[in-house]
Amino acid sequence: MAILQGRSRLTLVLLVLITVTLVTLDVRNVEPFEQAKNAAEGALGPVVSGAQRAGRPVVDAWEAITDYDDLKAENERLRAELDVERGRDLANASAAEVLQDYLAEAGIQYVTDIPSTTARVVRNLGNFPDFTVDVDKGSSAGVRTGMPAVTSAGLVGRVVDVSPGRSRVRLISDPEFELGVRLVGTDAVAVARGTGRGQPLVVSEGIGVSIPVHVGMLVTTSGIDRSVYPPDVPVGLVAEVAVDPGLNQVLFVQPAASLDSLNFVTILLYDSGL
Amino acid sequence: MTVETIRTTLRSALVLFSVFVLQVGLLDGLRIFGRAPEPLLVLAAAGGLVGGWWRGLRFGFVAGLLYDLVAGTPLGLAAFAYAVVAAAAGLLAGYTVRMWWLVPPFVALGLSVYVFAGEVVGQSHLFDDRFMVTLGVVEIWAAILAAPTLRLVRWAFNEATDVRAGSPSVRAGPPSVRALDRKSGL
Repeated sequence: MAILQGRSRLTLVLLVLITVTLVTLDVRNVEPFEQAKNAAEGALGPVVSGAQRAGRPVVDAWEAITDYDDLKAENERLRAELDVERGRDLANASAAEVLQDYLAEAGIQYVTDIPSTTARVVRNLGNFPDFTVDVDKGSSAGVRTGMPAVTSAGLVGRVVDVSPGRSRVRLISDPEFELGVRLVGTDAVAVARGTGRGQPLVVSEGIGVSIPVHVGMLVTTSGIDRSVYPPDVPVGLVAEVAVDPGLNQVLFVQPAASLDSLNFVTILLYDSGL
Repeated sequence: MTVETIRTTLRSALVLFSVFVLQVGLLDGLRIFGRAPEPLLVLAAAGGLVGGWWRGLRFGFVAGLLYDLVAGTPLGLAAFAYAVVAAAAGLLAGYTVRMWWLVPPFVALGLSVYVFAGEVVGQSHLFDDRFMVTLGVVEIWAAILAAPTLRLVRWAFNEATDVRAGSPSVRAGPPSVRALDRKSGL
């Protein structure tokens, strides 16, 4: 290619090398690089927050115009659901209250004695949101990497990056997310994995066919040794049970927390000692 | 370092920062079908078209780095895609006219390179069944933003020639850039 000669070829090779190096350092979480990146993100954080605050009225007006039909449809759907709910035995009880009743019945004290800080979820930027959300609390509020993030309904994810005024939380729906779980009412401890946005978690190993499992059972964090999560944090409810060829039960667990509409999360300032 | 170089560097930095603030504060919220414009990518393509491949490459790289720092994807991914698209736009700009409608195709190229490079480094969530919707929305916004962005970049690069968005152009730019382009065979 005549137009790519000498210096231009060298430049393109250098560009590829630099970007491959940057991506590799970032993906592998190399410590000095992470510190530099966090410092840069920390410096940009106030700019992003300030700009978003300033642009909020315009964005709200835009959303009011463009999302009007969606909001109307959503409103109608919610009204219909509310009517159905009213006709059920669980009248007047929200899903969270049901879960709280369940927890009380199972003797679970849900993170009542762990210090925590509540953070606002910052709007995800760009067209390609991954399985993380940014929140507006960071190391200055005591948040550290590895701490669990929850809502009143249950586990949301884990802090993976921290700068002074901001943190990034990896959601449990991430296909690379794994956590130890316990099936309440049994002694079974297994590993749950995320399978993607809007999809249930999957528990594919550790639950033999002899263990009684039924739809609607509560799944919590296991709290076993070396777990980064405190015990008995609700993860979700069993939505479906199947049996694999190896005679293990495969559980599909619907997350207790609504991961698609997070506005606030609570970071548990929990030190697992790891 | 000449006064001219310092001035264009400062102006470029100001333009990059301003477009970044505009993207995160306002334009990212103006979504259609849940998809947002990509003004930094438009800026990178415009940088290549106005400044040539070498200057565009550096301009696009910095624009991409800014995007990487807030988008949550690995640092360097957008920097690579934006630099490639800016350089490609700069190469083509050496042979053809510079018009606003050249920007959207390069933006589409940049988005595709970004997604493809993401797949290569394991960011499989970047390509989903709504990619064509994303591309469509980004293209519409690119067409809207192209002309003012070209104007902005010409100001940043201190272009002396009277080239208006939408009108044919000859290659221009400070002597250092033209000399470098000559050296590189452009």
